[in-house]
Amino acid sequence: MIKIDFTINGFSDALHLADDHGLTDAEIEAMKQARYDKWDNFVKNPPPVVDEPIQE
Amino acid sequence: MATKYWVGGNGNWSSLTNWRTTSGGAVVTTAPGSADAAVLDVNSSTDVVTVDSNITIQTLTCTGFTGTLAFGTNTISLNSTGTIFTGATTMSVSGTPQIICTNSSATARTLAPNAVTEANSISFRIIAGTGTLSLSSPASYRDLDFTDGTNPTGYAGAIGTTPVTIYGDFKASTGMSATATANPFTFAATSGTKTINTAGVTFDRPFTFDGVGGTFQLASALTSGTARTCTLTNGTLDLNSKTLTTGVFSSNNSNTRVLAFGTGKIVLTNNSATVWTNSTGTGFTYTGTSRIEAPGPATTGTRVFNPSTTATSTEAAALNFYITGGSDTINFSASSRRVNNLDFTGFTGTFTNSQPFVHGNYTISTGMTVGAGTNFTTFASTSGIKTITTNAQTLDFPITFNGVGGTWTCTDALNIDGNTLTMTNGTLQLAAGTTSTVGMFATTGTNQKYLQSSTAGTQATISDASGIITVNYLTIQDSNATGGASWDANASTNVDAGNNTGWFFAPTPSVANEIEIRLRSFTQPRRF
Repeated sequence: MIKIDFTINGFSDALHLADDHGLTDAEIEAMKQARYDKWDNFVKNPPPVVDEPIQE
Repeated sequence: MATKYWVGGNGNWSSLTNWRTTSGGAVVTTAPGSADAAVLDVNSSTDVVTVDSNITIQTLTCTGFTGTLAFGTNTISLNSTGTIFTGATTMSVSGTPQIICTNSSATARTLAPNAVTEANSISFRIIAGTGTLSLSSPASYRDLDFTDGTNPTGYAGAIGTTPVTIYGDFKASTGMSATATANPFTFAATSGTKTINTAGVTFDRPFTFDGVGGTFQLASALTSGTARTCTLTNGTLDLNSKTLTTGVFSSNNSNTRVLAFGTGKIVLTNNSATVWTNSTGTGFTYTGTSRIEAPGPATTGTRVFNPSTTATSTEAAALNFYITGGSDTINFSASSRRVNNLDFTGFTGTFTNSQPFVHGNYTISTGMTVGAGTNFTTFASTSGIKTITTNAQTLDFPITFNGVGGTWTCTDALNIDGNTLTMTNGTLQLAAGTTSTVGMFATTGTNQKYLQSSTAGTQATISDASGIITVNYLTIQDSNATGGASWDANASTNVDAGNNTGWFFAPTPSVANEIEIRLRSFTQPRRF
């Protein structure tokens, strides 16, 4: 697999793609942005806590 | 489907003599194939079963087995649904044990390897399927891989909520999901570097890193829930320059543990809790450039930070904290805690009076409220130049400068209202062209310390409304002392380094001699 490290607005992540992924640069950039957007939304709008019972 | 049972001593999986139609039975059968279930049980005794080629069967059950499953470099593929694997704490494995789960249906599956040891753990790769995957508890895994091995995709269902121990690598697939739970993933390897690739999937559960000698390295960003705690108990947590997002971070024991940042950071998202606990700094070190962010967006409640106490840590282990958002209350504890940079840029709430030992830069934001109190802030850097920025906020608490070799440059006026500014060690450079206000200015200790301006040759004004300020072992330069107080630098341990006004220095010997000569010329009778 190919690993592509990236940082957007201080958020650092990496894409892991198949060696023959066939994606264009634009598609890869869109994947990076999607990762960031998901994280940014999670931090700014954290989902409500839903817990399962703790198992020992 | 037929169920086939191993008996009869050591042998290869493909053996034509070791498989039976019943447990411990006499009826011989062929080795199990893709339409069969295989059982190694108490009647398989202590046998060594050698996987002599890549095997595909429906399910594998090892309950009661006390022998060894010798994988060599071969794999066992399980193509069915339901409980497809049941391990046993009594069995051993050797070689590179790997089980591949191949069913691509939407039917649920369960893996039940049991709480085996690190040495006897088995790697699992779940390459397909959209049904729920239950990881029964307790359960230990070596590698846990949800990709097909070639692509970042593979398993596309939701994994269950049980606590899981992983001794190897963890690799999520981009299409999977994880049900929120308070049960942790525990990474427990005791050697080597194990990687964690969450592939952009949010795992809303606690993460624990607890392996003496193990290194746990992020291969991508790791995001868990706001209510979850990430705990470093033993080993090295290597962010590998990635972002780790968790509600709370805790590493509070005396074990050897390392937090390797690279250029990565930890983002704390819990809005009303003790979000950072590292009180016991014994055994804790970090590498890289530390960055711990607390973005909020809390509007109420209190976020508490408990970095390492001064008694259990050193300057080298002090971390950088950035409170980048929220309008709630921030507390850094009333006992002495080490921080490196402490930066509130973006925060608009209240910083309660705490007692930090600041080894780096200190930045107060314009929109925040700085709580008053008697807990003192100590600037304790011992090297380099650190900045203090108050953005016109009054620090209504005592502050101390105490770092041999440290220099602090104020980027704007330093106002501590009616409180005492104490210099014990180091160099304080007040902002040139501004007036800093203190309630009292004091020096302690017998090391020489330095009061300067941030711009050489341009005075910085220090003001105190009343009283007598008496200093010792202080070298003063470019300082205008004013405000109604008397600024007594008369002691011989002080040095007038030039461009000072308002300070009363003892006359230097040459000046004293000149004064004496002139006085004599007035007192002795003149001869005409």
